[in-house]
Parts: sequence; C-alpha cells; structure tokens
Amino acid sequence: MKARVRKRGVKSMKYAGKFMALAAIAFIVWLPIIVAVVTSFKTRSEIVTAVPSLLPESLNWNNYVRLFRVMKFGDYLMNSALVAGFTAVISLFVSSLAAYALVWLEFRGKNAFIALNLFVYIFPQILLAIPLFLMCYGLGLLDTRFALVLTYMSFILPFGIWMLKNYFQTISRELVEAALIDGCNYFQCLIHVVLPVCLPVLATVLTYSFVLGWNEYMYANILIKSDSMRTVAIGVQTLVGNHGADFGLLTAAAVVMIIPVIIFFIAVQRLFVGGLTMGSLKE
Amino acid sequence: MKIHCKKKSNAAAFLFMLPAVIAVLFILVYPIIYGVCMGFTNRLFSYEAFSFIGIGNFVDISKDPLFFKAFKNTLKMVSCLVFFNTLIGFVLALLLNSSERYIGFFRTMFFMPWILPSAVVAFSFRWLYNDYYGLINHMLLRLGIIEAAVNPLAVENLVWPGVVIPSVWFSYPFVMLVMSAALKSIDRNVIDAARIDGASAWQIFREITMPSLRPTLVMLVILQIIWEFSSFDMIYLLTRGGPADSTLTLSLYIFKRAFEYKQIGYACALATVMFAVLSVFIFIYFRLSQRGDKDEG
Repeated sequence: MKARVRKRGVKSMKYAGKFMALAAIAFIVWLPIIVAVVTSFKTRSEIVTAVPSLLPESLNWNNYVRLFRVMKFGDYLMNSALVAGFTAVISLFVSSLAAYALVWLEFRGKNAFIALNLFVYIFPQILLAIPLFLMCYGLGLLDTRFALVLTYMSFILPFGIWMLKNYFQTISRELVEAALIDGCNYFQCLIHVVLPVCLPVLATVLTYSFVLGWNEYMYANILIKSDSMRTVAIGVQTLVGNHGADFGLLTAAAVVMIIPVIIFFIAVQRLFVGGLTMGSLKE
Repeated sequence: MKIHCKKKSNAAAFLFMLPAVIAVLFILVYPIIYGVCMGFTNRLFSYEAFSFIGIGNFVDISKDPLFFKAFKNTLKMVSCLVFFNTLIGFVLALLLNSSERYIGFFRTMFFMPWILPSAVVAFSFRWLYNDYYGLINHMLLRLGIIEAAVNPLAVENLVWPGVVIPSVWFSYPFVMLVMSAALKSIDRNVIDAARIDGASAWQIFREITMPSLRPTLVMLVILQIIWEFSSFDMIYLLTRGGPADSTLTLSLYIFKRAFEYKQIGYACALATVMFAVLSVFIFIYFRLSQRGDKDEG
C-alpha cells in the first residue's frame, strides 16, 4: 500500500515535472512573438528605454490606430486577402479535378504527371523566380495582383494536387462506383459524392493554401513596385525603411498579420497535421 | 461495353486533367526550361537585345570568387540548419510522444512557428536583437555576460548564430511533426514485449525505436537539404547577405545578380548550376519515395 502511494507520488511528480519542462520550452519558443505583442502595446517612450519592461504600463492602442490611419495598412491587408483567397480557391478547384482523375480514372501519362507534380513541388522557388519574373514582365503583368496569383499557383497548386490525391485514395472505391452506376457522370460524382465526404480536408487545403499566399514574401517583393499593390508581407517591410524602424508600428503590423494565420491554424490543425505528414513522406 | 467505358473515362480524364496540366506546363515546366536557356545568354534586364554566348556564363562562374564564397556559405548554412532542425525536432517529438492530456496543447504551441510569415519572424528577431532597446542585449548586459551592447546581425563573428537561431526556430517544427507521426506508428506490442524481456529504456530506444525511424530520418534529411539549400526569405530579411558577404548564400547571390545588378543571363546560369547540384538530392528523394511505395505493397 505504502509503496503504491509512493509510486503514485513519483508518477505525479514526473507528470508535473514534464509539464513544467514543456511549459518552459514553450515560453522560450514563443518569446519572440510574446515580445512583439507586448511591444505593440507600448508607447514610444516605453519602447525607447534602456530598461525594457516585460509588460506595458497600460494597453495602448496607439500603434494600431497609427497603422491604419497613417499607413495604408488596410490596403495591404486587402491585397493579401484578395491574392491569397483567389489563389487558394482556383488552386482547390483545379486540384480537386486533377486528383479525381489521378485516383479514379485511367489515362496514359498518369504516373508521369504524378512524378512531375512531385518534382515541381520540391523544385526550389528561388530558381523559378527569375523566369516567372521575366514572363510577368513579358505579359505586362508586373505590379499587378494577377501576377501574384499566377506565381503563387506555382507552389500552391502542386501542394493541393498532392494533398487531395493522397486523401482521395483513402475514400472507398465502392462509394464512387455506386454513384457512377446510379447514373452520375464523373463531374456529378465529384461534386455530389466525393467532395461532400471530404469537406474537412478541403477546408484544410483551402486554409493552408491561403496561409501560404498570405505569408509569401519573395515574389511579392520582386513583382510589386507601387504602394497601392503591396501585400502585408512587404508592407511590414516598408515600415522599417520609411520610418527608421519604428518598432511600435512594426510589431503592431506583425501582430495584425499573424492573427488570421493563428485563427486559421487552430481551426484546422488536427486534420492539417495528419495531411502534411502523409503528403511529405509518401508519394 | 468495357472498351466504351474506357474511352469515356479517357475523355473525362482529359477534361479533368486539362486545367492542371496547362497550369503546370505554363507556370512550372516552361519557366524552368526558359530559365535554363537564359543561362546561355548575356541578357541584361535593362536592354531588350541579347545574344546566346554558349557556356560563357559558366566559364565566368568558375572564376567568380563570390560564387565559391556563396557556395561555401550555403553548405555551411545547410549543415547547420539540417543538424539543429533534426536534433531539436527529434528531441521535441520524443518529449511529446506520450499520452498526457496536455500534450496536444504543447504540440500546437511547438508547431506554430512553421506557419508564421517569414517577414514577421525575421522582424521579431531583429527587434529582440536590437542593440539599443532589444531584450537580449539588455539581459546579457544585466547578467554581466557582455560589456557593451551589440547587434549580432551586424558583426561578422556573431552573424551566423544570429541567422541560424531564427532559421531553426522557423523550420524545426516540420521535423518534429513528421517524427511524431513516425514514433506513433511504431508497434507498441514490440516495445512492451521487449520491456517484459527485461530490456532497458536505452536498449529499447537503440534496438527498436531508432531502426524503425531510420527511413523517415533519411527522407527528412534529404527533404531538408533540398529546402534549406534554396531557402531565401529568412537570410534576406535578416542580413541581406551581410556583413561583408559573410552570410551570402547561393540563393541570395542569384537574387542579387538578377534583381540588383539586373544580370539576368548570369543569374540564370547561377541558378542552373545550383539546380545541377540540387538535382542529385532530388534524384535520391525520388528513388527513396518510390521504394517507400513498393514497401507498402
């Protein structure tokens, strides 16, 4: 009896110890973001001080107000949402059609396309950047949101095709065949049978595609020149340049930029985590 | 009947695949070929006219000291990042490999850096590093570890840790995620049986856990080499390759040649060389992923 109690005591100590260790690691991991959030609520004199405090004296929304009043930050957010949204929706449509054909239809060159898709998925973006830039230049698309949608497709579409193909493979063949025997054509089968059973996965792919577009920096940096076309990622960067690194403004912008990312991630994380693992290790 | 079905299926497949095939050809295959071809020209962005100069660019590259410096920096960066990502990701995956209630919460917390925007990550760290008002300098000064405030990104002998820390922060979660999944897939019964037979925790780790993780680990390392070799955002946003080109990697060098010096031809040639190096790893990745398919039956 005594031994059992002691064993339980040791176990709960271990439980608590592990919790504390994980909490400490989590704090260290999150420190940069915590500091950014705290800084965004500080006044200028609180930021520019030799002895930085961990917490602000009071919640000061001034940085956020300035961000939207003085800067065109609302426009940047709008541009990012438009570009990321359009890219995600178009990519989801194209990739669900392709994934359906890759999983349930027979055609020549199927394996070649699957291999090609994997190849372009891991192909380094920096090597695509110059030719895509030249193409956009040639088509007169520089400094347009359409150029961003086009270039973002180059990494979001292969990802979508891959994720959806992997997921469609787990749907039972009988379900699809039953629908075809009932007189559905392939397109109806996709719309009325396949997509409804994988709504959570579609939401995940859509969300992650959106986040990829929302976060993207390199293409936006080389393709966009005018202020009114800027996305958030490069909008944040301009705050450093024009205002001699006003860190209150900068951290407020960073916080605004990551809010949708975190909300989306929490909404779909369970499925997303499974899907990403599946997609990365198996073809 | 059967033939009829197949034909119909073929036509449908054609229609279903059409948008994806057009997109992949137009935004991926064509640009890749176009880029390689541009590597054999002397094209400048500021002039419309250009001509093919054979392997001229590649000859220049072989004599370009900055290319070799960038190449060396890239190798250094890739080794640092792959090593620390794998180590930290693996340790965290082991820590998270249990069934306590709070594990899910911490998994989310530890994974989150992966999906944050590179711009936000880079500027958050630049703020931490700030030599006047940043937190890190303040703490180190207070603890008496350093005597004068210093911005690690501006000093040559501190810039590497200064860049590697945020980059690892940004990319270890993927390793953690994949290793977690691999750990979960190990058969519990084998481990329990070993424990009953009197195996120690270390023996179980060495004889059961490690061997079953090896294929995943190899795959992860290859995939990370491919990614980190061409990573761009983090270094560009943190240092732009400075100070004095000490963190200039190949992808930054390509970017500089193309978009700052406007030497499109030379930059494309550099990109082609980089692709040639990477294709070795891409080839290995393909072989491994095909073998994985066969193993699954």
